Amino acid sequence: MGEKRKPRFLENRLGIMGNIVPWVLMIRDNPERVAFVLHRLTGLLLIIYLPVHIFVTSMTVNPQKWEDFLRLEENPLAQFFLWILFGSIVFHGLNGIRLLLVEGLGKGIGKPEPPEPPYKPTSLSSAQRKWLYAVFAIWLIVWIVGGIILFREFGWV
Amino acid sequence: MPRESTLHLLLYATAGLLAVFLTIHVALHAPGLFYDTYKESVQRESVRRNYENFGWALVALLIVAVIHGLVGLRGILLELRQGPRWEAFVNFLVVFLGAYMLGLGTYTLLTWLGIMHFGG
Repeated sequence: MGEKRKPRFLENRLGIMGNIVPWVLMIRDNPERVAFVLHRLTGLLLIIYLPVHIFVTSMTVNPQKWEDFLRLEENPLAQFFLWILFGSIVFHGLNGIRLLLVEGLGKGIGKPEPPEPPYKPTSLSSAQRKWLYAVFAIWLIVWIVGGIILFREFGWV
Repeated sequence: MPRESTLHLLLYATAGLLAVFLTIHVALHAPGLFYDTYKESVQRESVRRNYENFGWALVALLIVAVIHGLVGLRGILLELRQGPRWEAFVNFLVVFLGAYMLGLGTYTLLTWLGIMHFGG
């Protein structure tokens, strides 16, 4: 028999890196945590982009400025960023709907049970876990298909 | 600032509205739906048409996006650090950013309304 594996504990104080980089999280069987981090990252990207988007949109009132901006969008980096942005919107939106159901309305988390060992919360094996996997699957499909459509238009593929 | 519970309810309410408004907004730029290509959807003539047909929906989108984004940002910043001075700074920051975004967005819409009605 091999050596008994050491138990791993959830770290309560992950620090800023733990909240930013999902790959530093050494947590097994916790896709909710990955979704939390991705929701945060995509949310931060979107709130940074929002003022820029509003500023850029204000350029549409000036035909010359708008033409100059559209030329900037020919840049491959700008096109790649557009795809990243699209993926962020899709993930944040889909996961947001799941959070509305789970956190806001208390759906899909099962019934509470007495806290008996091994203390596995019912919420981790309830419908919300399936919804979470559905969110990941739909997000990846929509993001990849959207990327193919966008990059085909931009002449990348 | 309103109570934290009120802000969190606001976050949920704006999230529900955003799911609808933002889907329409993204769909407006999706190739093959309203326009043949993405590039066509960002041409000035298309933008003008969007303001003409969806002007007030865009204002609603602007308001809910700004509220949702800034309440979310405030929550993240207050989780990173705590303290009365930090909280005052974060509150000032979100109010300032909100005023900037709502002001500029409203200016853009009003300018477009002027262009549509008086030419330009």
